[in-house]
Amino acid sequence: MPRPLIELVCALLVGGLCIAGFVEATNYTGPSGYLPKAVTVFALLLSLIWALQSALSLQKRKKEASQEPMSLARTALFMGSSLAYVVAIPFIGYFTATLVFIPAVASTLGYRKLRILLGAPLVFVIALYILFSLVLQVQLPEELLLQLVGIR
Amino acid sequence: MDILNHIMAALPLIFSLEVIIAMILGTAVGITVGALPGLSATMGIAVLIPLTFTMEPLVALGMVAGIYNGAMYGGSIPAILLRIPGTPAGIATVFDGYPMAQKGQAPLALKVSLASSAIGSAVSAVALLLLAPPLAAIALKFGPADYFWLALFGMTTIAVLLSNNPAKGLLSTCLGLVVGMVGIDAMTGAERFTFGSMDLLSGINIIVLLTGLFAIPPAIDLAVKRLSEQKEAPIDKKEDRIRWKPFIPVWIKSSIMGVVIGIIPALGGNVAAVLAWNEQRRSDPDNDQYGKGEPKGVAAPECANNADTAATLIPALTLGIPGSAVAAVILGALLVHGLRPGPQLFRDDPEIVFGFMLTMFVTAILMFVIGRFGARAFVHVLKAPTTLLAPMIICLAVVGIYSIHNSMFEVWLMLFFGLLGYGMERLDIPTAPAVLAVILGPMAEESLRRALLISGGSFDYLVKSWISWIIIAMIAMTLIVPLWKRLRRLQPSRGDQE
Amino acid sequence: MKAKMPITLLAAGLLGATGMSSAWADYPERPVTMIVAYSAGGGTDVAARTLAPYIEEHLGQSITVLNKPGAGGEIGFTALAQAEPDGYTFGFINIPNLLAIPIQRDARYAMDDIDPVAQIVYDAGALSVRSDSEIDSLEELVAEAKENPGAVTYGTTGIGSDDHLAVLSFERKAGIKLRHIPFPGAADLRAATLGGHITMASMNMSESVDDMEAGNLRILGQMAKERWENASEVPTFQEQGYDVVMGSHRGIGVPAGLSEEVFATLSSAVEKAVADPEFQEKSLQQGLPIAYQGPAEFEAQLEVLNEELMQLWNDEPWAQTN
Repeated sequence: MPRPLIELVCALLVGGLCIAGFVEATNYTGPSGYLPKAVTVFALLLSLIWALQSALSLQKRKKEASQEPMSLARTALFMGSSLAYVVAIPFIGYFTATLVFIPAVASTLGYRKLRILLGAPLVFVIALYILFSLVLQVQLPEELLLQLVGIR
Repeated sequence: MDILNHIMAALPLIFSLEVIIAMILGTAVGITVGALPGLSATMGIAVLIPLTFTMEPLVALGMVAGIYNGAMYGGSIPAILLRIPGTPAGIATVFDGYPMAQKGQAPLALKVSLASSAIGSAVSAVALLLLAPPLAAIALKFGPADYFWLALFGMTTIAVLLSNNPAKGLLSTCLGLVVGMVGIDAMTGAERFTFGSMDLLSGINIIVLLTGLFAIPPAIDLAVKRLSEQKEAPIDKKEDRIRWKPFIPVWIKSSIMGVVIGIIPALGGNVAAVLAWNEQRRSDPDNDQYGKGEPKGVAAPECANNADTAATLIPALTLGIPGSAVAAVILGALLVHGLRPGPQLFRDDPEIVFGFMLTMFVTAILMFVIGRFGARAFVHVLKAPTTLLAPMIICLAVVGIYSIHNSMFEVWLMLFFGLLGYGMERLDIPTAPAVLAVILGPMAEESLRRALLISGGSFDYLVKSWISWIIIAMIAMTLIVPLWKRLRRLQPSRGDQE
Repeated sequence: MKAKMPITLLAAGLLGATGMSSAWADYPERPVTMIVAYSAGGGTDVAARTLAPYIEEHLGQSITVLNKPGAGGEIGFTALAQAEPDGYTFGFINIPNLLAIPIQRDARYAMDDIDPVAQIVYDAGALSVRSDSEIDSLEELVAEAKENPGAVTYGTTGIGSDDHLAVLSFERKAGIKLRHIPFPGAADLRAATLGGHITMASMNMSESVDDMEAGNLRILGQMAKERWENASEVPTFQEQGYDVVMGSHRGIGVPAGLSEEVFATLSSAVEKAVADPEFQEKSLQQGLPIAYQGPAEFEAQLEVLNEELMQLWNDEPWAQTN
């Protein structure tokens, strides 16, 4: 997809959201409604300008190098695994998830030095444990790793 | 000289071994907490308060002082190296700090930031020690109308950040304004943009937005870089000698701005940093260099946000009015030790108050020493394999956000803003205006409505105080002067054509 | 050998069973969580963390404080209401916030989901003016407000806060109308009052008394049944002829449905903790007005207050609902 077309789609999408926001804002009575209405209308205007700009450049320019498929795959991979990581945290605990997540992502992205791949996350997790659990005493979700070992 | 007597009496107290160890530990913890995305001085101090229950008051307060000063500086380290501001106050440091690192001047940028931070903190501590009672009076002079103008003044910074397409920059501003409106409207109790979610009722925390917009996109960029494309980040070794002389006027101006903004309640280091950067850029004749890696653009915000630290404590200690979330938490720490802030504090426990103020000064120096050693280590972050660094940034952002309110919802919200921020970057929409709008938008709206509520709807109230007029003049200067300059530049060229 | 096996098994079983039954009686046998519905480092949090070690001492178990701030306390109260009613989770509750939230919006918890254990702090509301103000007493305030209806401004720490509700109740009883200016917190409110930007502040006694002693503020009246010992020169509202008793209560609550033994163990531990002289001294230093009330007394008071708030809401809703 050429870049101006992507921009046009995004601009129209944002415009739609602004309309939805304005409709929501009409529910707000009195002074609490002034700014929401003003901002959404202004944003709608801006998104229309943006849409116009991209439509014009769509006509002007013919073709442009689109994004390299390889880097698109890497982006999707990284985003997907990050989401999976956050989904997993409440179930298997933060530190357990981190110990799996970092080496898994790094190796699929092409990192190959095995010793660092396993050692660095371990050191990282220990440092985080000291800072967050021991010093700052944050109550993180319970750890599957510790439950398996039988500490908790 | 009553004050000097108190200072002399407090001096021996803070040079006991325990207090010194506490200050060193506090400063180190503070720099760490500040450097990690999501964690801030407020959170660091709040969670450490229970640990200080059993300590002597000055040991506890020395640690608090160290954390406060350290965290303000710490925020600049990832801002420079990875363009991830560690705290909201570090956002202005990104503007020039990251371009410097890209040019291979990371060590220089870190040095400038450290020296400026230490100087800002020291100036602020001196102001606190010597001028606290008279300066506290300024805090009370500010009414709702003045806050409104001040917020607008801060918003003029956005004009600079609009990039080459104003429509996109303003759209980003609108995003920030909407995000700032989410939650219960403080003036009427109405729920706005909450969509029935309990988690959105108290609004969206600025740190959640900041971490999402600024920490996630760089992580994605690092992950996407292929190993073969990776080259060692260039690091200039020659930059060892820096000429500090040109920085002196920057420091003087920025520390004064930081101190004044610190005294005014409800404004924090983030506002100070943004305004100082804006003012520095405005006043420098060579202002095209700003945003492209100008060292003075690092010095100004870093000096100002650290000059804010001790100054925030001026109304907090003398009047019991904490001007920011951090100051409120510090008052909590004082309370735990039976020290009730307010006018009676200076009368009843002068050694401890003056001791605490002195530790603010001493930790400024300690910060410089610890930072000098640390800076060598920090730069190594740039040499780390990016495929390992990227997931680590995600992990840090997640745990940092989770620990603010023990809430998974905010972690998801942060990720959402992360993806949004990544999308915005790909579409060349600047993200900084959104963050500034979240900081200043609610302040402008609330104080305008509060002012109109007090006046019964008459707009005269907005221009009644002399403070308002000063700020209005400053707004006019920032907006009109560049415009006028541009016109003057245009006119002769038009003349040539004729 | 073989014959002995069943006996040992039986013995083991018996031991296990006795172990089980004594576990019932031996509440608590693992650490207890205390939910605080406000941010770490705030007033409620400091009070909770000051009390926690004394409850630990009398309960014989360690307590982990868990901050669940947000939505004016609703997030924390909901977490408390939905916790397992086994005595291993209890929480700090703030009144009137706990009562007011379900009245003013569809909350995710109901009052029946939380059982009160004890009131620990009662911080009476108060109206104060700058010491150079011409208003000297409630009577003069009422006269001034009647002369210029809606012109006298008062600040509170927010819509639906105890300060706001207290003034609404006062307005009804005195038959006057004042203009409400909400502020985000006590600090901003004090700054605006001391700076003369508003006429009057509605703040709790503990937040006003230091400024009164320093001569910056004059307290017109305190909204308690009896005068607070730290400010015995300030008359109550009732003494001045206005029946307004309102303020901020902080206490301890548990999810409804605790077994009687567990409830009794917990509430006696809390009672002993509050009575601990060391705790009393610490709270005096911090200016916390301690006012212990047991479960029955506290619950009865909450019911009366809830009734009053519902009536107030029906007559004149204090918050805007979309």
